[in-house]
Amino acid sequence: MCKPFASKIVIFVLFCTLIAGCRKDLETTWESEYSIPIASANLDLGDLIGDSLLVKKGDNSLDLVYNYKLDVDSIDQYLVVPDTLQEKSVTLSKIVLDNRMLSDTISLGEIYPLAKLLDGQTQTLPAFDQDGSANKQEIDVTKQFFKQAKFKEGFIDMTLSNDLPVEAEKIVFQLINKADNQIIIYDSFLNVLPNTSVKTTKSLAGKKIDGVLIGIVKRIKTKASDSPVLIDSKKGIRLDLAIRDLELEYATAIFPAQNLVEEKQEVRYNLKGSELTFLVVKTGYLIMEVFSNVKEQLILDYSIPNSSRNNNFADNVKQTVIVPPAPDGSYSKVVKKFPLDHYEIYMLGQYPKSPPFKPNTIYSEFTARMEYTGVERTLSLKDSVYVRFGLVEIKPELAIGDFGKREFKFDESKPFKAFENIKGDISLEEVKMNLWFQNSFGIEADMQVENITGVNTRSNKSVKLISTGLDNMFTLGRAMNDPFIPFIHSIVMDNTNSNLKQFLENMPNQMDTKFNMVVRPRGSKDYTDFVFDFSKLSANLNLEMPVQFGTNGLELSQLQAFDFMKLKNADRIKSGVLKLDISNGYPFEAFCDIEFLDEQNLVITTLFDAGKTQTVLPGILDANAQVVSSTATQLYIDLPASKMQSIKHAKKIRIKTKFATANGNRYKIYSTYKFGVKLKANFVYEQSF
Amino acid sequence: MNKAFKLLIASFISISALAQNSDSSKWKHFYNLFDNPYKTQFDSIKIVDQSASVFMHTNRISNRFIYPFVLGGSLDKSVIDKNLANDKNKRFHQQLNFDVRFINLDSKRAWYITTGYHQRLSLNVSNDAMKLIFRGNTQKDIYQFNHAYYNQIRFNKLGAGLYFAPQKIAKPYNLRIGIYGIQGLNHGKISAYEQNYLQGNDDSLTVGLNYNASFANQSFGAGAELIFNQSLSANQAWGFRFENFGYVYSNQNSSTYHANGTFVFNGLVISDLSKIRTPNYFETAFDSLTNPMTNKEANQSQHIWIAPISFLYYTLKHQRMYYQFGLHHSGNKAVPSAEIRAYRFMKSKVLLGLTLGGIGQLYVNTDMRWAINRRWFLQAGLYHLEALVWSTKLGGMGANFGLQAAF
Repeated sequence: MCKPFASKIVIFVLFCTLIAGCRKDLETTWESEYSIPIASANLDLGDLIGDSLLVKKGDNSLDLVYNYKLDVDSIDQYLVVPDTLQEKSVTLSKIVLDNRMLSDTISLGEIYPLAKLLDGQTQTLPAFDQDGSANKQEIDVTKQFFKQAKFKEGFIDMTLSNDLPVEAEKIVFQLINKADNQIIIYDSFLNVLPNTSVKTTKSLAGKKIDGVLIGIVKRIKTKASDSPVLIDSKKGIRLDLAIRDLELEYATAIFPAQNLVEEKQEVRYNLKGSELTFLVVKTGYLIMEVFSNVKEQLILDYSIPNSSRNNNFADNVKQTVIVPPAPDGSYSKVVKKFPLDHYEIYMLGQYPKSPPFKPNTIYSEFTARMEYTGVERTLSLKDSVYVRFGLVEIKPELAIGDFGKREFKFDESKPFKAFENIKGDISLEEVKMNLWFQNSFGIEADMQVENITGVNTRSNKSVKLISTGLDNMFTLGRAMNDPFIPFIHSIVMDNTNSNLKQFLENMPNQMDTKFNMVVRPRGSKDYTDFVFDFSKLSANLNLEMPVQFGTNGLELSQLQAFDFMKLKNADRIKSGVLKLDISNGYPFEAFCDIEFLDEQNLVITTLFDAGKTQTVLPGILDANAQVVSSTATQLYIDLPASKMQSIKHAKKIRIKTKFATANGNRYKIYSTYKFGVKLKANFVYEQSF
Repeated sequence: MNKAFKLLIASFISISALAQNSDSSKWKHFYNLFDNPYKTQFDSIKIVDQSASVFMHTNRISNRFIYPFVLGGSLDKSVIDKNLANDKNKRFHQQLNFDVRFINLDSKRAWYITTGYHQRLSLNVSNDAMKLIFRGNTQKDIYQFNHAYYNQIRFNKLGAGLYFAPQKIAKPYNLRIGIYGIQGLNHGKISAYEQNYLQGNDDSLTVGLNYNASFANQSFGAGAELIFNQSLSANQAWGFRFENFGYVYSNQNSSTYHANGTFVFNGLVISDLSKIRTPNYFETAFDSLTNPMTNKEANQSQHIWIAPISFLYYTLKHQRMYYQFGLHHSGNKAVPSAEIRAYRFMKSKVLLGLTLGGIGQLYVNTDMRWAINRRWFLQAGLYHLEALVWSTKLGGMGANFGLQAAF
């Protein structure tokens, strides 16, 4: 294809692409008006204040029940078990090797070779004086004893037995290291009669001995026999060597089993005023850290003999840690953490059943030992072991003892949610409140209620609770154990013995409480006070009131987050009219409004224009003041474009509902009462394409 | 020379005479129209051809209503009211075609390669459905939308074909046969039968639905085209075109919807007030309402047949005018339209045409062909001139454009 033609093709293709690519994303909009049902709901009082707060009675009337709890004490105030660790650093004070025996014989045949020809014959033996330097016996003890050792202490017993038929006049014996010819022993035996033995002992202290030794009989001089004697060339001078009582400075050998460290100790814990005799561990650990440069495997044993699990003393706290041999020029490190969950520990020292008793004291035993491994190791007195061990992160499940006299003051302000979103006036029929203290400690306490004040921060009004039951100090007894039963002290208040009605009609949203408490005021009973991990001392307020009230203007107010634009295509709703069909089965008139707020809680607009709030009529009552039929009301809410724009900018809404009863009369509320709501809308929607 | 032989010679001459008309010399300028039945000779040339057309036809929808959809902007209420005053069904058809071809005309072997993009949309809705969309549901108690349909397809094609134009025969003809692979970009189809309606108000809404719908994304298949033109005499010609038809298969790439029943909506019933603050509460509740109305099944496979765009014509030349009578079908559910196109040479290198057509609604199109020089050729045209003039009453618009280079 020629170039001009190709270039024209390219131009064509580019032009075609331009045509195809020339496309614009355009939106067409128009407004349509739609009328649709949106949502419906059948509400009752539980939807407004929570079903959990209401209790239905036999006649279907409702009681409002509210529980308020204040924890005034817990185990953390009484018992914190500190981490307590012991440290031990020991060198190998004593390394031992087993005692050993060696035996060797220099026969007549070796001294007087001709004797071999005369074996069994009776002959007169001449005197001999022989230089035996060439007669060397190699003694190899590397396999069964040591390869090399230097002794701090030790002895070698030499027993020379003359099995010859003639007197040994002089025998000179020498024992040397084969490697360096160092003389270990050099000794002479004189005038040893036939078939007798002589013994001598030499010290090995300070001597370095190799595993391969040379025994040399340097000189052997015998007398001639007095008469013909029976020749037995196999018998001769017998040398027995016994090495004993060895204490090594160092040795390369196969070591026997031996204890290196033995410790028995009592550790006393500082529990800051508490004195415990018994502890059940909920969670916690035994920690053992070992640093060792001993070139042999070590076994560390730790135990708490006075402990058990599930009351089984055979299952007491005991742990074993195996420390591998230290590598050359370095050390072995082992760190282990063993859980102690559910162990029972007696904290009265080594002898918990015999005086003197030592509370807060745990008795433990610790050993570090070597076992026979059959493996050759090099050990010295310079080798050492560092051990750190003890109990950490102990959280008790149960502690028994004496926790000391303590005084506490509680002064708290806490939210009181029963009337959280309500303000206005309320007139209550009858109310009952039970203020009760529960003690689940096994410790007695005296308590004084200084003050219980209900504060309404919305109206800035406070009412102090006054009752005869609160005037005096009272004692909270110990909880019982096995079976566990907490101690409860209850103060019942109603209209006859307190100002409870006024206290509650204030509709507090905050409770200020002040208590004084003295724990263990009169001492412990034989160290038998107890504390569980769940033990608490709590003040509980149980409010019961029939939902029967009247009001001239009780307002429920609820603030919540709101973002209209999160609804899909909400920005396309330009304006509209909301209709709310309400079927009111309650004996209250209701007025509802919604405030639309910005981030700073400033009101941007309200659902109803000022002065145009519409009323929901109450249900129809019978002669018994019970609602027999609901009243229908339709609320009409106009949302022009300008208001719609404001609503779209809102970030929060506050729903305010105000209730009123006719002339402030009180009415009982029944579970059958319902508030039916149906929301409908007619809105202008901007379509787009 | 014997008689038979002379007669043969004479008939041969007359055959030649039949093939040529008085505009033959002018037709020679337009050798880019290689399948023109009035061509008197076969030219060994190469042509690169690009053509595009876009048009829409509407029935009972005016251009004033259409303009905001084409140009963007807001649709005025008065325009909506005027267009919805007539209670009859509204129809809308739209088509876009874009083709690029390379044609190699060789006396021994004539072939071409072609690629293109095509789009068709066909919509038939009741006036009530239009009211529901464009006005809302506040003006009537019941809105009916039976027997509505929606069809739409977009696809690319790439293929080749052969061109046959036997010479020296009594009635010369040419035939173009092409096949191509089709890549379906998307396809949508909705068919609504009886008992489709919306009734109610802000208290309660009742929806009757009886429909099937399917929407497919990627699909692949094959298509073909067949174009035939024949010169019957010096002044008569006829031909037909079947273009852009075929079959594609969507393999687990389509979704289907259907419903046949009545659904009542009285508003969302909130059984537990505390739950309305959970995220997407209303969206989830709304989905549970609409799911029985759609019965969506995703990842379905679908066979899609693409109908041909067809044209059948007969042309008669009288004096200087050519009159082409044609039947046209756009490859959709619309009825075919009949048209008459009159065209003539304004100058030797300019051909101007005017088309009058339609069944039920008249349309007027115009077209122009211009042989710029020996190499370059241009076509352009406008559809629905009548709607451009009477935009408040009539609907439809479109244009076409083509450019060829011949070597």
